[in-house]
Amino acid sequence: MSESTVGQVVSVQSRKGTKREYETVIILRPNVNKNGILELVHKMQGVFEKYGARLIKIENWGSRTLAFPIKRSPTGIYLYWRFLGGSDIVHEFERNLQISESVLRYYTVRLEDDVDPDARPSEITEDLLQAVAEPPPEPEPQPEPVREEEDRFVSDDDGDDDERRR
Amino acid sequence: MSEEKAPRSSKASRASLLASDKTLVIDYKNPQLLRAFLTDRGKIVPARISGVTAKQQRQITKAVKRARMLALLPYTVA
Repeated sequence: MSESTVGQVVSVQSRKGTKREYETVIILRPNVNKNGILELVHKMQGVFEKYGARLIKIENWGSRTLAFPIKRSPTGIYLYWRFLGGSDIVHEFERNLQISESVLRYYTVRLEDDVDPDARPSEITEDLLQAVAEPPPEPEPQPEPVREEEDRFVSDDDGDDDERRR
Repeated sequence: MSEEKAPRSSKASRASLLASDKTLVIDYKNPQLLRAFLTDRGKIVPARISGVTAKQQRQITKAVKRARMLALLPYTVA
């Protein structure tokens, strides 16, 4: 490439001056404390800065019971990140997560292509970063799933020949 | 003789959860909503049963699979 895109991976499709919007959900080990989370966030901020990416949003969903154990852990702390950048930041971000021992699992989704970086102001402040280390104020009481819908499905699961059982 | 079959509803009602509330967005980050589209064994309910549109079913499928990866929903329920 003759263009000056050194150090920044830009896809063939992407328009100049735009970035992609990604979101990542990270599951941390339940024993990670406040400082552990802060340390991770600050480390990742360094990574973001280095790659010209920008963190837009970061949320702590608190400790949740996993639907199945991951690495023998029945619970995990969920962190939600939203950021702008190129594919290179995702690669580097995930590489760092892989190294980190406190991370049980991560998953990144591309939300949008060709985002104008100016149109998405960062909500990140130092206060907010501090708040991320704290779990959300009220731990979510697992709300009952919609009953009537479920009942209908349940009755279908064994009643007739619509679905064969395993 | 011992097993009583529940009478099958004559027509699958098209009134799905999503049709009644247009504000609902199918998202893998909302496992409570997605749970309505799983059987008690954790399988995705066919659209012909749940009455969602084909487009919604595609979104649900994708969202459920993403949520499973993040342990928000189970792969199987024993």
